[in-house]
Amino acid sequence: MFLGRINRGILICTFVISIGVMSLSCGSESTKKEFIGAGFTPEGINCSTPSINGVYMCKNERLSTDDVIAVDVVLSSAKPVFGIAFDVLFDPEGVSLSRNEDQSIDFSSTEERVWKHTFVSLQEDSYDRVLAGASLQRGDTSLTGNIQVITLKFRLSGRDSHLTFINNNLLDETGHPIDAAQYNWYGGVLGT
Amino acid sequence: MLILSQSSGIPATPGIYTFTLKVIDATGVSSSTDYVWAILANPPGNVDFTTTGSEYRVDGFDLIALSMVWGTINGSAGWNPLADLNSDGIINGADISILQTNFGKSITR
Repeated sequence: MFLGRINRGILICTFVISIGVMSLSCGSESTKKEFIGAGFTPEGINCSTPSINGVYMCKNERLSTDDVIAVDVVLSSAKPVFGIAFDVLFDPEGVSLSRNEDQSIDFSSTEERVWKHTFVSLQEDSYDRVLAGASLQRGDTSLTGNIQVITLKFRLSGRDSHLTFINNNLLDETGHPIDAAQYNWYGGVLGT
Repeated sequence: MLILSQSSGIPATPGIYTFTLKVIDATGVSSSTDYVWAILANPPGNVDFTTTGSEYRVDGFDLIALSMVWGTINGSAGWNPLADLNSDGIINGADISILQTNFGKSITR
């Protein structure tokens, strides 16, 4: 009888522990799911310690969600910059641009409004090329240091995709290109 | 009696054109005046068509070129008639709005 009580106790304890383990298991699964999904790996640069004189991409954790990966384009420049223009190539089989309800491209400009104008668009008749530009206005003081340019947002739809800068340049206030040879442009890989 | 000097050709390629109006009176005295005329791309927005890669589309280079002459008026220093996308003689938000509308589009010449 005493042993029977012990056995019942063990069974109950085992059941309770099992429930507990299941609960823990479920909890860890649900927690894990929040972090499963799309990611972004910068190429050639450490986002926490970027080098000077370059344009690079880093994941914006705050604006990223389970479905959308937000990628900041950041400028680091010792020379004064008036405007920046570039294209970003991506693999349309792997990712797509995030869009707003009205089908416009979903992107963010800097919260501090350091740039006067920031435009983003797919190139006409193209599915793999985003055009972007950010500019000050005549009379503004050109920018130096680390400056966020724009935040692009992508949805993963298949395989991983490289994000590659092309056709890019930085211009000073006279409209002349800033020595491109002294600046590196770093892309990255979108993927799971 | 005034005699207009011979003129020929109609520019079709986008760009800035200067043409001269020259008049000669009956006594042979002549006078001339230069005029600047801009032929805009179609659709408007291709302000910078000299940068390689930007010649045939509206992109960030055009945005920067327009922003560089922001606030200027026709005849003022730095005036760029190619940035006056609505041809009203001032570079302002109306022009940037047109450029934004056409951003990413290919242009025809």
